[in-house]
Amino acid sequence: MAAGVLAMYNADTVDETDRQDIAASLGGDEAAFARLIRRHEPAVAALTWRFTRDAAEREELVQDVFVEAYFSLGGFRGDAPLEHWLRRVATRVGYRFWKRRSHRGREAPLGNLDPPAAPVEMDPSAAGAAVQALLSRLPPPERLVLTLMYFDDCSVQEIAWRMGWTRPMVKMRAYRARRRLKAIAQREHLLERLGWTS
Amino acid sequence: MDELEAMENLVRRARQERPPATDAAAGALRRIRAGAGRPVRILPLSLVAAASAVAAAVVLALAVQAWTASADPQAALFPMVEVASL
Repeated sequence: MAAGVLAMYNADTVDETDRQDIAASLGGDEAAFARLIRRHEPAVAALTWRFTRDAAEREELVQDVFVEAYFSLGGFRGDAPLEHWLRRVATRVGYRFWKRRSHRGREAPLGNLDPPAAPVEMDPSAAGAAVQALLSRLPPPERLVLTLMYFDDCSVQEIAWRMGWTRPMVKMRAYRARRRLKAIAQREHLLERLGWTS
Repeated sequence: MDELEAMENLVRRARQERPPATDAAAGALRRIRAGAGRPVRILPLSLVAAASAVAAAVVLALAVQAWTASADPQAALFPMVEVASL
């Protein structure tokens, strides 16, 4: 079986070690899947960080991604590196998490922004928390589009592929998201709070 | 600087943040072993749903037939009342 599975994947796009471990995982080799997790966990964890900053929730999200990946590994066609496919799974898992959360009406507080002298001097962690707090005020589809554009360097086409949306839909959501975000930032007096008014 | 430029400056700084590491392998494997997250198989559910729909359609057809064939038990009283009032 492993040889047949290996032949399915494009050797130019899928890393050789990944190909071996995917084939073994599909054959029920748990250790091979554990190796896949360890190899790709940093990338998945970095992406899930943009969905939640809560350590327990994030740990669970990363687990969700790999559990979902395991049960749909047979659907991985191998026409792109495994990491791309895992990012797609992670994006969908994160989006579902936001949708569940938005039903409960949870919104991150913007908190106290310590005004730095210049944007480059701002603490990256404080900047990250502020960006996520502002984005959390957007509806999940718009929040997702901007999060992927800002933090995962995603093009409109990439977002459309990850979510199964059309490209015009992604463009429209990006436009609406920016417009809404500007209004939110004005309402929250972002420039004044950051001391960047001049 | 407008709000969107400020936002982009914040994003530029936020991208330099190093997210804390996670260790999800053991937990994910435990959940896989337990079968949690296994996708629901649609085919068996579809077969049960189709069989239920067929049974419901048969019951409905029989009920309609019985309804139209049955006589209203009160209907028989009215001619008698009419005759009695005359």
